[in-house]
Amino acid sequence: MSRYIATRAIRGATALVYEAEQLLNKALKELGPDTPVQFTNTAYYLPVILGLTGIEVAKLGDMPKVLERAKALLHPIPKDQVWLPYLGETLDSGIATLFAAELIEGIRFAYGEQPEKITWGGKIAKGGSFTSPEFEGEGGNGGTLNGPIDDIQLRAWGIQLVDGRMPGFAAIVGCAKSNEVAVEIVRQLQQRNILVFLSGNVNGRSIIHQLMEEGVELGYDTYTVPFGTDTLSAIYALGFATRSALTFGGMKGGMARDILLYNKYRVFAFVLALGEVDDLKYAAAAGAINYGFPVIADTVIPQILPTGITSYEHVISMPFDEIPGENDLERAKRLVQRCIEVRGVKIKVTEVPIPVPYGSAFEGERVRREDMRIEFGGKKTRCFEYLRMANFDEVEDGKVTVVGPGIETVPEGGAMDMGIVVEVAGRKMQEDFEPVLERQIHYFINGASGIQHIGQRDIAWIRISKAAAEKGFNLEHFGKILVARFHADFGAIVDKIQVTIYTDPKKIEEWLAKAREAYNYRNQRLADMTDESVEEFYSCTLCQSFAPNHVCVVSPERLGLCGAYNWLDCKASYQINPTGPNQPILKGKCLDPVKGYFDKVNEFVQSASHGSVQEVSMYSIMENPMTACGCFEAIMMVIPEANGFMVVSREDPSMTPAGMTFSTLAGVAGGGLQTPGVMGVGKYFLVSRKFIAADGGLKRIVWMSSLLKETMAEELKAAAAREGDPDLLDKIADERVATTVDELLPYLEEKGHPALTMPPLF
Amino acid sequence: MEHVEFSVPRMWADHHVPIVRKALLGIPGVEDVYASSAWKTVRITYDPTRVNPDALEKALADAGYPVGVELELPTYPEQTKDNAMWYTLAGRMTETNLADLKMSGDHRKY
Amino acid sequence: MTEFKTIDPAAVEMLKIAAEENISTAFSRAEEVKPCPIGETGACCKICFMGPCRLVGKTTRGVCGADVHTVAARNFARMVAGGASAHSDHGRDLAMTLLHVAKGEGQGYRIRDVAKLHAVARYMGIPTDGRTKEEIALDVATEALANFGRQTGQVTYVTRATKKRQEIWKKLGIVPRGVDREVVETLHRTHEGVDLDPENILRHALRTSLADGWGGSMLATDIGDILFGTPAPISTEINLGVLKEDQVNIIVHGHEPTLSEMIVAAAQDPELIAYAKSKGAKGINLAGICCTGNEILMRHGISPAGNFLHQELAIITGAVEAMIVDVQCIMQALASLAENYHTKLITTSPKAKIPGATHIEFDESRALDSAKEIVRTAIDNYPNRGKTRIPPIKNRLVAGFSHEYLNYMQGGIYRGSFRPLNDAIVQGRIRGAAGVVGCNNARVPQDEGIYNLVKEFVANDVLVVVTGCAATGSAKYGLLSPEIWAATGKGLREVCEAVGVPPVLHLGSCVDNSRILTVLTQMATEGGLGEDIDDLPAVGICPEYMCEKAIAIGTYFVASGAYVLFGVHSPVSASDVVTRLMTEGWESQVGGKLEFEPDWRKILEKSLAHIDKKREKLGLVPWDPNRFGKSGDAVMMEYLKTVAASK
Repeated sequence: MSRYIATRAIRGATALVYEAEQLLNKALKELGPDTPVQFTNTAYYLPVILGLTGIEVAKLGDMPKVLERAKALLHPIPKDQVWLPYLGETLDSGIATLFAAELIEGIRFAYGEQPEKITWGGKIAKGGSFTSPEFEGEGGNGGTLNGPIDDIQLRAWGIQLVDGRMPGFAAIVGCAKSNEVAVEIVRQLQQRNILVFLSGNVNGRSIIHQLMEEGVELGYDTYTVPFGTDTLSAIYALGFATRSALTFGGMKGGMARDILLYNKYRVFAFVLALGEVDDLKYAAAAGAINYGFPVIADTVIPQILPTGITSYEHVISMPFDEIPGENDLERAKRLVQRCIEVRGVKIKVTEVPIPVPYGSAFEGERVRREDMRIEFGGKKTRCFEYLRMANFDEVEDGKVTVVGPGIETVPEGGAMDMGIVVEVAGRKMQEDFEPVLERQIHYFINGASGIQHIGQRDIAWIRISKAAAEKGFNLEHFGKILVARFHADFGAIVDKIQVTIYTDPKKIEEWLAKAREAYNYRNQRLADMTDESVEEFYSCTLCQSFAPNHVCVVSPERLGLCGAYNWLDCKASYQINPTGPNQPILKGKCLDPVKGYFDKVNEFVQSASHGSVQEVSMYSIMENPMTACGCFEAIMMVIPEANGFMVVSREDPSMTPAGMTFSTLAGVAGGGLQTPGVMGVGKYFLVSRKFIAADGGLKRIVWMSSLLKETMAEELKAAAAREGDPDLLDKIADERVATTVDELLPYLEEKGHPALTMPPLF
Repeated sequence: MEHVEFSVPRMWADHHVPIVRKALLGIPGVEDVYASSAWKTVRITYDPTRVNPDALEKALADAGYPVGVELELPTYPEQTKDNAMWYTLAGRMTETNLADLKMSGDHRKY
Repeated sequence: MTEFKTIDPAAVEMLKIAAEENISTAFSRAEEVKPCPIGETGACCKICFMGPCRLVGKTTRGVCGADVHTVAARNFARMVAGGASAHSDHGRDLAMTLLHVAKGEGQGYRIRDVAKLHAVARYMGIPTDGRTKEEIALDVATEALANFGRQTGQVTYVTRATKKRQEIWKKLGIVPRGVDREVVETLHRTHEGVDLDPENILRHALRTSLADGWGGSMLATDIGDILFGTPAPISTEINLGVLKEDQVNIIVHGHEPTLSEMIVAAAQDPELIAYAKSKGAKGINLAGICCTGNEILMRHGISPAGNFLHQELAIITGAVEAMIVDVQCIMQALASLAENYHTKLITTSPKAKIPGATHIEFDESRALDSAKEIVRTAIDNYPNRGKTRIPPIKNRLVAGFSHEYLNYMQGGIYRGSFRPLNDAIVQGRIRGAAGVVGCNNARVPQDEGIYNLVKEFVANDVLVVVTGCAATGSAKYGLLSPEIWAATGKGLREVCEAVGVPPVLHLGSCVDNSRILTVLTQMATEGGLGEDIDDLPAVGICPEYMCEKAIAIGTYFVASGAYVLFGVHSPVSASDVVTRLMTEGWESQVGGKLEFEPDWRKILEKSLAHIDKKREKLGLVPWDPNRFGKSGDAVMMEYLKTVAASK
């Protein structure tokens, strides 16, 4: 700290705790102590308070003891002369500020004042991960800001946070110099895949207003989350940080120091204060510094450069107009660069030579029909993508060819056929990697701002927005994106790459036939690939940066619990990075073919889990089940009364017969602990032949989120048929018919569910 | 148009700003308001034929932000006092945190 | 100014008066009594009654045949034993007090710092869950007392050293067993005709010193903290100017907090304050001298009136109603000096009486009543006060840095650690650390070495920790106030501004040097600065050492791995062998070494060279005075001025 900052932060903290007390007393009187306090869809109560004190605030009556704790953390303001040390005291006061802010937001929730209504009438993208039921339609109605991030979204981002695709978050507080600067700052962050959390105001005007006025799409899918227009709502950023540690770090409420250190080392976040800084902003910044998050301001404030609480500088002042640069856009760019330096975030930015911004943050961007210049695929036209291995001499590296007419030949809002054929050559390339690489096309193309990509293979569907087309985006750019990204991300197996874009109908016919032949071949190959047919499985310890003792064992018939890595992916990943998180595990001796015990697998897991897991069964949930980090797509749990298991999907917020929602269950299933009867899984494991084979397989499933039933209907039907019960899916209950065991059992009886007559589980 | 600037100590954070702005901008004759929580001041541009500073000051007071009136805050004890955090909350173990060492990893190699 | 051997203007004023009034002080006696030239170099052996033998000139052996090396080593080892005894007996008394308190005896005392009690219990492996503080305290006191009489095994706190350090001690066979055993063994070994190998004698001196540093002293500090509170920062004023014309001035002088704490309580007693008023005084003003002063400064912010050489000067002000003394560093001259004024010299310890002084024995079972009686005696003396001449000289300081607070202040309750300090050293904002400790010595100008070294260190980005009379010595010149930032090196200043501390940190009395051991150990284990204390870019300096305690302290720092420099003169200069053993010899054995260097400028040079050498060895960036300095309030203050001007 500096004495100036300490003075203002401690004053701000004292004032906020006082304000929280006034507000709480009023709320207790008006609403009563039993009034529930609940942030949107979270199992973590008020997360900062839970994390740092272990206190579970579920109703207003739980708040006074938190307030007492906040008061205990306050200190006198430093004197003008012969002042006493203030760093520790200011950091404590910062924590008191966070407690008070979270209490106030909790009280606002109790009053129904949060998430905040915003008077600006524009559209805000509504939250939800890709497959979320909330994700229906094209954005919400606007008028309400996001408020705190829900657990579903936190977990959906989990894998990206752990594998480094999403390096961290920027908590932006205040208001930029101009709308132009606001947009540039956010674009710069998005291009680096950094989550942007927005809050605060200066003279009543927030960066949220600025971005909305400029038509910037806000929401989970574009990595820009508007929390609220005051600094109090910045607490949600720290709630997110705290929950990261609780969700992925396997920490429990009350482990304050561990949670804070976890954030210092694992969550690359920083605070960017735009515009003048008031007492509360100083105080909240002091709270953030406890997490190891540095603070950068675009105004004159005292700098704190020595390190220690944060990894690098603590507080940086970069008065905006004094930043060297031709114009404000350049200054904004430099500001963001400095932020990233100060946090020490290592970001590999791939230069993609296209006329629109590029980055993962744009992956979730949608192109609405009215904004669309042209689309390929969907209902009206055909669109496919096909990647194949070729000989070295057949590939001219970097070549992009367009065969057929360009988009200019199609009227605005129209559609046309397109085929993207990618040919790669590489010494380490294998035929098996073709589908692995092909699947990347979706992510790579989606990264371009103003381009939307859905689906894969011959059901691909691509849209180019008017804005992108105006900037000069054309067909060849699809090729340029793929060339740049494949070289950058898969350089270890891809030496040469060429891309051909077909729009010529005749050529499309010809290549589509070839592609379909290849798809069929691959399907067959995949179906033939069994755990018995390979010599080695693969480990995945990608999440160990977050969940230090968790290790996934990925086999051909059991994909990673995050759903993002199957056996082939791991194999390719090992080729790309031989010392990386995916290592081959020779199966060794099979100790138990039914439960799936292998001696070398056990050995590997023992060492990779640092001794916390001794044995793992590949095909059982009841005995030494595989552990989970926190990124699972679905959670299974035993329902003893029904002699079977339930499966709840990550996107399903409803109550389950286990008496817990997904969020609550996640606390039991995650953190790298073995809990017999509870397991996190990738949803495609459900249709595997090895799916809990030792416990009876798919027929043991008595309850399943309807969302899973619907999105995987065909695969599940096929699996049910294979298991000898083609109508199984109808016998499985879901949240529409049963959310308690009492409702579940009659349903199963009525339908004659096979689990009821299977051998007892216990 | 004339300007007037008031010190408003109770407007110490940005969630107070919209309240102050609303109170002032609702007064006929007030053209513009710059409410700075950072400096706890509000600068008002107004039409002197329609409104006067006294009325503005009253509006601020009515909104709970009286001009020049400090926020009275409780005081907390210095660390050496028995009721200070140093005695009520702080621990006394001086020891290197192993989790910190482990997690800092490469950081410590400088 | 050069007329008197002091750089303190307050002392000068008093010495002028003393000269005018023909009053003898340590300053004048130091001119009159020359040091014994043979004893000064360690060449005098008076261990048996065939001597004393003076091994000078052509005499190379004593009657028994002992050579000068054995003689110098034996004398040195006995000094260590003397110092260790002083600290440790102090520690033992505190442990006894804790034992009384645990049993519900000891009027006026309480367990003030329960958190510290729990921490100490953890260090000692004593269970705390579900136990009352009295039960825990009983075990802690018992375990502490066991450290003194332990015959085998080791002193409890040895385990608080780094693993590597413990190995070194084990390998060398100098892990201290019990405090008393090591001291007794020293006296035995240095008895006539026992240990005659200088190397072997000195090795046991290391062991004895460790029993002090990691035993008696560390226990004294810890138990003091349990009973009276672990220090946290506090500000006040220092020097003779803190005495008040219109109040009953009581000076506590000596070393143990048990007495002074009760005097503090008694001086705040409304009844006694009223009594003082009834005698025409406006109140009771307490001030400290020497380490008892440091104890109540650290915990209550009671102003020190000065350091060791101020004890007589305070009486010369004519404003002191009573000087209450307990043990250590109390000049016999006080008694005769006090006769010239109304001042009552009150001895309180059964261990320490002075002919001519009033003895009011401090009875721990009725501690507060005893203290009140003593304060009442002082108040009764107020009407006898004659002419006063309090020099209007004082300065401001911040004290109260326990290692617990240092840990806390670098991150608050949730993130406290020594990481910021280590980071700052690694990056070169802080060049290194220096401990400036010890006494005043009338043979050298008072505070000259202390003041100049501390001032130069902070100007050169070296963080300084101080204790004892070196602390009060520095404080008198404002070096312990954050206002000294203006004269602090740019990098160090950045760190100080970030934390809010002066660049010179007061860690307490001379037994509290044990706190420095913990600080150094933390720096070593925190990482980035090697693995052990001898890897750290740090030095320990005792520029004006005067007593055996200082020798014991210096030795335990060496045994813990530190490079230690003493001023004044070498008490072993007669023996090149012993000198070499203490430098090269000890350095190869324990990584630390002990040197004597009278010139503070050379001490500075050697210290900085040592720090830079250690930085290089660690592979740290070379220190650059101009690389840092961009943080802090200055820019903001400038900006606020411009904003204000534009309005």
